[in-house]
Amino acid sequence: MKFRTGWLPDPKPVHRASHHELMAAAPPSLPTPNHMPFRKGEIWQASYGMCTGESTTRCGQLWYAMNGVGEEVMLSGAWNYLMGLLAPYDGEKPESVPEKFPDDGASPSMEFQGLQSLGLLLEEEFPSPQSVGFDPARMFRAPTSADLVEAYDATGLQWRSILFANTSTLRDAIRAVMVRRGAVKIAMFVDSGVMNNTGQLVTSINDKDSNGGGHDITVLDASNDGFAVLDNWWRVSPELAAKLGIPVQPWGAADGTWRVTWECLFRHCRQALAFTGAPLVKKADVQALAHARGARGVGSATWPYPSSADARDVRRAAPTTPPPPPPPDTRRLKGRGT
Amino acid sequence: MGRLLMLVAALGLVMCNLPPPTPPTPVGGSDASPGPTPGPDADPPAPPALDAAPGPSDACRRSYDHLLLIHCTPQQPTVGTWVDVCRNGRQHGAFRLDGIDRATTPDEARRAGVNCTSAP
Repeated sequence: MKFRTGWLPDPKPVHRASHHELMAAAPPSLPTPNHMPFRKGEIWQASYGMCTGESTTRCGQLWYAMNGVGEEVMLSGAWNYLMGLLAPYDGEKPESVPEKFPDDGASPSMEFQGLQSLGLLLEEEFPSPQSVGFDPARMFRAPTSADLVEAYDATGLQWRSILFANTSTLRDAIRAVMVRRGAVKIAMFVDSGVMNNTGQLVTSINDKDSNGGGHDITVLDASNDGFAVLDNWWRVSPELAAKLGIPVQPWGAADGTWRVTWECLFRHCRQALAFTGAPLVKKADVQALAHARGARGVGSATWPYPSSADARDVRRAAPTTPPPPPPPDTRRLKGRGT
Repeated sequence: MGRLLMLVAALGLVMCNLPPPTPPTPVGGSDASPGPTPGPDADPPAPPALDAAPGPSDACRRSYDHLLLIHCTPQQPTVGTWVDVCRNGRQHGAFRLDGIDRATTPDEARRAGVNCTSAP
């Protein structure tokens, strides 16, 4: 299997702030740069080159969870990717923009910029491959006015570029962002060895591997001095595979992560970005889910499939859960994060 | 007689130098801070935005009016208006209007991507 092209370099200059300003503005608020306890919800990119979109979904999910907005706020990876495909046409007349986009990958920073300008959609509003109702034609088509109206309530994503010069500055910068409740995504090159990794520590990546390619991936744990733990949305859990009617693909470690040494990560990292603030998205499901399951503390959560129950089913299935609170305001409110 | 003529002439001179009447303050306007007086070479004040030359904003307004005309009231965002979304989208390469402008029924507007809320 050949690895698809995932992230692309910026096709034109993108204005960006740096993580240095974040460090100056906000003190650390987490004890360790470890986001594993906040990781919820399964992500799967199927065979599409949409790793940038799925990486943004994980970044958003981590950000909302760490900032107490909701444990499993899943942004639409398909919409994220579509914004990345559309972003190079920023400033052009819409009628001259292609009606259909090729599945050739996207620039992570341009994707952030597009989401900042046009807004976010949730997974249920614009399903991705991991959800029933996914429509690939919709993902590669210019966005409709109805989708843009929905997303408009959630414009204003905040993001920054992570600057680094060597292994230690990359590690320190990632940690500095993560302890301030920001999520980090990395655009890197991966080879077929990484693609087929089943849990071993990745210490080297072959740049010459013809089956390798670009991948955009979220950092989950930067607390270890030897390696970083990265998310992996190539693996499909048995539960999700059964729901979607697809075979299980056991890539990555059993918990759906990769471990890559910092030195290896630095050598193959092409771009690192920080997801530092998102519009507040209030949905009844999020609030009810959080109330039904109770607040989780750091260190209490793991890969969200200890049983066959989908996380979304917990609220419906558990008979002992207290009655949900009165329906919260379902309006999507604009706001700023950190 | 001569003194009377001089008095009339002086009175006429004073009346000719009177300042012109001040225009009334427009309704809803404020005269609390009139700002600097423009010099003789200053450009004329810019007209209100809504009266600006045709541009993307007008295209959005026209399309919105067209949708209303064909009995399709598009869904509004929570904050702002459909026209605001249109203007913002078009600045960033999104929100095509050609299909919307061609629509003659709510169904055709829906097929062009509009979420009509009031149409049957």
